Amino acid sequence: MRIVETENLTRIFGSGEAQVTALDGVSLHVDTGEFVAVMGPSGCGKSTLLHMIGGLDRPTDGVVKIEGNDLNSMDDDDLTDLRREHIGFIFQFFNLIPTLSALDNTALPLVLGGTKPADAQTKAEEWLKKLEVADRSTHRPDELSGGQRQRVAIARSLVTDPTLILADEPTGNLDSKATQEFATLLRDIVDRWERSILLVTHDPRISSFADRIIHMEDGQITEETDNNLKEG
Amino acid sequence: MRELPLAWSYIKGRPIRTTMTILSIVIGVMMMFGLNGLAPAFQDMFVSSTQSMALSNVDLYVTRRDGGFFRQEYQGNVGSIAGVEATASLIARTVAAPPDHYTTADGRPINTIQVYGVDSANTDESFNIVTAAGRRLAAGRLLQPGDGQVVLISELFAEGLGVSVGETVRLPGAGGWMNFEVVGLLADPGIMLGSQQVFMPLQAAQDLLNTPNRVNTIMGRFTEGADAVAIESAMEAMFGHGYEYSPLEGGSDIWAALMEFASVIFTMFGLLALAMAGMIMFNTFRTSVVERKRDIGMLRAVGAKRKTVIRAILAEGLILAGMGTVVGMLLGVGFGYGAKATLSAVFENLMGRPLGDPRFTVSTFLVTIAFGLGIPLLSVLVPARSASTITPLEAMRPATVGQEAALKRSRLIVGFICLVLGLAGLLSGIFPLMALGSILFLLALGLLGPMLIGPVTKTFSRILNLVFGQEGGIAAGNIARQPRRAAITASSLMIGLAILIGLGGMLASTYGGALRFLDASFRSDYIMMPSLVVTNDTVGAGPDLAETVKRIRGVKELTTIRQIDISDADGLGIRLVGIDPLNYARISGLSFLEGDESAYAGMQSGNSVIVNGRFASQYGTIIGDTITLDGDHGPVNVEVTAIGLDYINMKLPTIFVEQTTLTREYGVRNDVFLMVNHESGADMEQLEEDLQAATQNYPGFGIISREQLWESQKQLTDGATVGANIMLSLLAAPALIGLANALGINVIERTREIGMLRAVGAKRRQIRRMVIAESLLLCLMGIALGVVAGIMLSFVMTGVLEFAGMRIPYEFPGMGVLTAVAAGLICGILAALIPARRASDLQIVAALAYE
Ligand SMILES: Nc1ncnc2c1ncn2[C@@H]1O[C@H](COP(=O)(O)OP(=O)(O)O)[C@@H](O)[C@H]1O
Ligand SMILES: [Mg+2]
Repeated sequence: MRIVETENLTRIFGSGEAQVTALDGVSLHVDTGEFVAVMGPSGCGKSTLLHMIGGLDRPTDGVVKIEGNDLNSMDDDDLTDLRREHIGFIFQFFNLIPTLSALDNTALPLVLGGTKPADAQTKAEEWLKKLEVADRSTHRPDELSGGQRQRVAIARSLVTDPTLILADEPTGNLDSKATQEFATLLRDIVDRWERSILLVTHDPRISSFADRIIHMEDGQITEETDNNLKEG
Repeated sequence: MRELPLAWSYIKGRPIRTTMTILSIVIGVMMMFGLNGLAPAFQDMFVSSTQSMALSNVDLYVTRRDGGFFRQEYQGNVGSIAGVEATASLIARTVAAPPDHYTTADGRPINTIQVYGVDSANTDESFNIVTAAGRRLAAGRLLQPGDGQVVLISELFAEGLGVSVGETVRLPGAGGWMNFEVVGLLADPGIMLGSQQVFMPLQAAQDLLNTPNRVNTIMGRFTEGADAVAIESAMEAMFGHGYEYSPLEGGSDIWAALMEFASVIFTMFGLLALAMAGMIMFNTFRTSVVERKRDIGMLRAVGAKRKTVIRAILAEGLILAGMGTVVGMLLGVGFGYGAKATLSAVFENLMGRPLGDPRFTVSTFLVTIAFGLGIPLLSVLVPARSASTITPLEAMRPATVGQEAALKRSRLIVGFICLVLGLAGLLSGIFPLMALGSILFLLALGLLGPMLIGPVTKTFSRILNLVFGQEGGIAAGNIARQPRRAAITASSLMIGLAILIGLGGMLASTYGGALRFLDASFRSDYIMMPSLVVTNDTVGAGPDLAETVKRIRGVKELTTIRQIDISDADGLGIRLVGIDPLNYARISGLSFLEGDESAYAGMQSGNSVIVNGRFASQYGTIIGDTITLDGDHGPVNVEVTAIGLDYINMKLPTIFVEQTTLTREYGVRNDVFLMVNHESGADMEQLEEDLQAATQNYPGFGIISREQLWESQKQLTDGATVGANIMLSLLAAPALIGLANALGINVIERTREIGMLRAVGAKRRQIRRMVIAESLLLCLMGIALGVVAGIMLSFVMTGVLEFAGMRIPYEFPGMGVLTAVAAGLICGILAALIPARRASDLQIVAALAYE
């Protein structure tokens, strides 16, 4: 099934002299249980693409469909609900709330969605356990290592059982051991929990775990390569 | 509410900021709650002790609204109205007893005596107030026609005096002590604590009070089926608006006016304190929204709606406001009792009664809670809204502090329009426009402030460079990079100082003015008076006292003052002060706001008067206007020839008239002040002794020299100034908190940047100097703007006083400005110390990884 589908996606910033075409007619798709990596030089439009797909920003032209729903037809509140219920985000900066514990940070999307705090915490606890940071659940972000923070961020992105996970250079702040662990974890998420991942990176150690790699340049897709991991 | 845990976590996670924000609310609520709790106690003290009487067969009571006396012949006029069957005249008058003179048998002090003069010769039984409300005679007899100097008193009073029927009591009157034979004792102890009713023949009461042929009440009974409405309108036509036709009340207008004035000031203090708290909340939340930009963006990205963000921030504000309000009210109770303890002695001196305990009424609770929660919530509204416009994308960007976007053109235009309109309003001289102007002016400062930051920074940065070297330059750069944030920080100090200078200026004008008027109003060597606070209840001295004093050796000259409180068409109190113009001008005198000394000579004829500032501003009177006095012999038109002030009456609308006019038209024959000058070279000790002896027979009358009066009033004013200064420093506290808050956030927000500076080689000391330099620079800006705004505000506030009816000349708050500058600098340094320490103590690695 098509989780993500874009048609001719275009995003133009600014106007006149300062006009930048960050995305220039991008069409792609991500299917259920697929791990797709986007690679390309800095400034080629990778983050912009992810923002459009996540409903964080609106395209100048073209269409994004998540599970068949056209994002252009949704208002801000609809997009918010969509993000909370269907999409998990993993940011480059871990973006945890500094005053909340790891557990509360993880439970946040559920609490925002109206789940009873006790239930939300039970669920969050489960995910922290699956990601092997349950022993740090009462700690606040500044008491965690970079890798631990990233695990909490991943737990948070998975706690609502989203079908799609979007990650923007999530290993930018991690060392190579943590990066390796992280990549394995992502693969697990796809294989064991049947999620789809669209991930932006320029780290080949991570993209080698992806099913498919989309290469971009100047806002356009230049090449797609299949890793054929499934068959292997 | 799902936002609550989030709001709570922020509150818990930032304990210092939370405490400081709450503290600012606490102070505002405390002042508002405590002061308003005291208000009922003040009211109690001032409430007229007149009691209403219940006579079942009396349909009508004619009294003057102000409780004053009128001609007894009016009884005939009332009797002639169709439908009025019978009438009776009555005097009901409260007389202040000399302090510590009377006590009841059980040792309670009696402060006032209610004198009832009953026309027993011409009164039928239904008008007999002696036996009203079922009072029984315990011994002796009731009043009879033909009675002379006789009196009925309560058993309780008699026991205290140690007298019985047939013996004599002394009562204080206008002509001195008068003796009365007790003919009967009433079983009922009478009315309220501290007061006693005495009943005597009308003639005896008129003698005692020196009000021949005058009464203050006419009672009437209607014929069966009479048209009450028609009678009332006939009465209205006959007497005019200065009279009332129902129960026995009145005489409290003057106190009511004073009370109103006091409560305006109280509420103003409380509101200002809360407004400052609001400012701080606004600043705190505005900066914390900036600080949490990434958090909020992330919240939006993971599924928080705009509404949710707004609600979370409002919830945070509400929690802080709620905690602040609760604690503030608790402290307010303490504040009320503390103020009572300090003020009580003053009032016992002034009024002969202590101040009661503060009382917190339901409405005080409701008003305090409404403002305590409302003002902070309103202040948080704008930051909450701006937080909700943060896009999820902001969470994706690294949180470096960048150059702020240029100010919007529209903002500049609106700012300039506000500035121009504000200045125009301020210079208009019309109060409501001035008030509006000051608001617009402050708004303009807020809008244009960020624009001023650039040039001001440049000017000061040279000095900074000199003092702080390289670090000063970096500090100036930091400020110039974020003009809006700098403006917010500086504005908290600006508003604080502006309010300080404004209030300080107003108080300086009031107290400075008061002492100046005191000087002008009491130029005589000695003043003889019953009390500085003279009302219609004060029994003055008949002309005999002045005659006696005139004959004392060593007395060169004297002038007397008489007065009566009346009311205007709306029932508002007006004081008429009768002077003997030429003598008064020579021996004492007024401070003139408009017109000059030549007005005294004109008054001599009785055709012109001088009004005081409060009167002029209340009624919009100018020189040349005609005032109509409602005298005994019909309306009297007098021309206003000057506006002047004296010390005693400056808070009350007052007309100074020629003394014989007052006697003729209002029957005022008693002197309440005698001002005496001595011969040069007189034997002062002997003279003072003789003056003292002359007042012997006039209960309550004392003698005080100019120096003594000045000293005592100076003490009072100083006391009041100290009190006001305490309140001012309470107001200053939130400004300091706000500043420290803003500076602290400034440092927290730049944690990563400071870490970077340290990483590339800045020493701890340098970081500290940089932060302090930056704070000082912000402070200087706040002070500069605050002084400008404060001077303007003090001008407006003095205008507010005028609007509230007290017209006083404006005095430049020179001391206030100096104090504010000093306070501002000290605040700035104090407020910078903690953030500077924090910044220099940062662990580099932790700082770089700071979330
Ligand atoms: N908000 C913006 N305003 C203007 N230009 C932008 C904005 N966001 C991104 N761009 C530009 O769009 C292009 C693509 O940016 P981005 O998607 O962030 O690249 P990357 O592939 O490195 O993630 C860049 O040239 C960038 O400068
Ligand atoms: Mg990017």
